[in-house]
Amino acid sequence: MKSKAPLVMMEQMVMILVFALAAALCMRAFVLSSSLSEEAERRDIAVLLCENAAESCKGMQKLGGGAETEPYTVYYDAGGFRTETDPAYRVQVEPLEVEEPLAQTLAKAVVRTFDEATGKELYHLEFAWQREVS
Amino acid sequence: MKKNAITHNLDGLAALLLFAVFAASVMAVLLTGAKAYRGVTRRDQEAYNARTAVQYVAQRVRQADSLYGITLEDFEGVECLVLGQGEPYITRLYCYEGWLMELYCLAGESFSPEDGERIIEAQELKLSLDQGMLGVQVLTAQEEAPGSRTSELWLELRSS
Repeated sequence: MKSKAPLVMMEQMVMILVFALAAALCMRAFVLSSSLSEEAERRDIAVLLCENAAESCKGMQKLGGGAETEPYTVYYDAGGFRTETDPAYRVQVEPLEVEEPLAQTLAKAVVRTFDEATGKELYHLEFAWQREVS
Repeated sequence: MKKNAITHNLDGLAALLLFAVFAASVMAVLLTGAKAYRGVTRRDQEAYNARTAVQYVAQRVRQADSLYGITLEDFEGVECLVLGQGEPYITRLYCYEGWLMELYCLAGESFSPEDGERIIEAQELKLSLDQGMLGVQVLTAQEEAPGSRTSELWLELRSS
């Protein structure tokens, strides 16, 4: 009687081949979902850093400072706290020009948060505030 | 005849081994998928907690931003943000027993922290108020626990 084992083996090899292809696709999807989730987390922090920079800028303006004339850069660690060593995020605040007749009363700036490792911009926010009128 | 039987057995064994390899691969892919899913949901949940807690506080502050309307106080030993100061009713925001709590009550009446309403899980709320800048730090899980995250938010009080 002829053995059926080679036939079973052939069938299983085809099964493994199909499975390997499906598994490869699944693995790609897992890696992609993980990297998307990490990026969303970084963007969350970037949004918060932009908001904080905008609020600080407006607050400093009241005290006579802020980004009205000079751009500035601040560095933050992975948790979103200010640091000078091994930063994960770079936050840049740059003043923007305001056209007349609003230039005397309105100030504008843009804040950008970058991923320090890749240099990629994660988020930016344009904001404006009223100048203190004396 | 005997040789035929041995070949037959070896073929069967090879097929069985191949099936074992297949089963192990299925398990590996399933476990990897489960691990990836767990990681993604955990990270998303942490981000949600951290973001929601600080944005909730920011929203409440923006709604109640009036001249001298926002102050900090000690609420029976708990650091607390008071909104609507100077009005008949005030809102207190604080952390108590692992929760961010809110208590809307008559100003001057004696209440305790457990009277508040639970908003979202949070371990600690640190507040600072200096020259119109309100600093809010929310710790969303125990400091040593996995997933512990502190979110910091700065708010410039418009009416200060």
